[in-house]
Amino acid sequence: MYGLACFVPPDLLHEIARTAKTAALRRSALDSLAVDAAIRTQRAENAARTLTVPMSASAGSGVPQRFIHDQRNGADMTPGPVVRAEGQPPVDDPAVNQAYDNFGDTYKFYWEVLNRDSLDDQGMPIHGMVHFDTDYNNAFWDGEGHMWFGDGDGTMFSDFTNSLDVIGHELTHGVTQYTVNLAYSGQSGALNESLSDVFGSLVEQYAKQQTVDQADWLIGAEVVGPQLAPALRSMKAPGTANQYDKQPEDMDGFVVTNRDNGGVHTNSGIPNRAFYLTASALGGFAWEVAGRVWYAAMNDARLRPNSRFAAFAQATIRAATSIGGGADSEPTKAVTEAWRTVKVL
Amino acid sequence: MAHGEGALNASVVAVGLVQSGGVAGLGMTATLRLADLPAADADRARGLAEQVLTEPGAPQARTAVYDGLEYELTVTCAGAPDQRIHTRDGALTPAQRALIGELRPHLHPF
Repeated sequence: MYGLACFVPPDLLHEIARTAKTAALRRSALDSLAVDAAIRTQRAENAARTLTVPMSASAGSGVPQRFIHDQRNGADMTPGPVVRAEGQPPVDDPAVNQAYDNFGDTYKFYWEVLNRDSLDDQGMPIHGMVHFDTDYNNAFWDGEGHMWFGDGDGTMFSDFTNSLDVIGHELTHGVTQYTVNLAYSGQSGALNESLSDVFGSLVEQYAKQQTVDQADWLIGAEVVGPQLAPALRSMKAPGTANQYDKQPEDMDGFVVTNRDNGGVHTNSGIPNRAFYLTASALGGFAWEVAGRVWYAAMNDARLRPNSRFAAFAQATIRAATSIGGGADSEPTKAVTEAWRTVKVL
Repeated sequence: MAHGEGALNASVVAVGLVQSGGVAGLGMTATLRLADLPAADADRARGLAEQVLTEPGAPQARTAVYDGLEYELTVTCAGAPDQRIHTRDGALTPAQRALIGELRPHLHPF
């Protein structure tokens, strides 16, 4: 038997396995796929295990490294010119300044609350690519250090640089990459999405110094037009954020779908609500205990890139037990009850 | 040219798009029947559809694109099964991007 190089993309290996004219070639493709999957999993796990312990505040700089690029409404994903770098004064373009300022608030949250120095905890520069494409109704994190912002079409969505929780959401995808590195599909993908909503919301709450009761627990309220008002998602009441919101509030409503990487933005409503319930039960500022519990769970060495809701729930219980001071502590009780309410436990 | 004339002799009769994912996680859909378009628009859409069907796919992104949009393009030809192309942000060919650009203004949530 001969092996197919691991540099062959898995999609192509699947196609070869499906269409191979000989059993030997089909078997080889399948063998290569198995090896490829094992290597990718190992690579992801290695990345996830790197820098799992947050550095102390004194070890880092406490100063973000922000670079805002103007994509000039082009759809090419080559970075455009830098129009504002760290320490430079505001420019005439509000999108540039909003991205810069909201990056700063996100960095500040991670630094001051969680002692984390940027996304990788090593002071990684953050690049914002504003004015991407024309009427592009989205913002995303490319996994390679860049957040891309569409201007929105002005009807369904407006400029995505205007939303602090969306920016906190996207940059948290970077934090997740450098911690538990959850695979972006199915339940692990929905967890990945939920972590971004949790910390995106906390970034906003910290910037506004809002208590649990003062926070709106909405995601993307600043970027939706009338058709999607009041927001993209509600962590407090999944499924109610707008007329198209299909998020379930517990496991009874778990959605099975091939789209959206297996419904990652839909089923994230379940762990989102678990976080809200935990924070609500504990009261005060959500980042002080609930946020720290969730962050410690992200750094739990027992989690794997393919971890599901239940594994993450157990990690939050371990973290709450440690942070709260025992199994009978209020945080542990609140966390356990929250996961039971959403029927994960 | 008269409205829709450009579509009369072509095999491509409609193009469709289902968009999912994105930070909104919002499902959206659009269908353009070429016969309903001005001739120049129909010709452009047909040309892009044919290009999308025949070109090789773009290489996939090296890492996951978090909150990227997913696209399911459907090309309907007269007397033939629909042909579907699945693609996503970070892996779009120029023709796919252009065809999606034609469909984007017609998207509505579902």
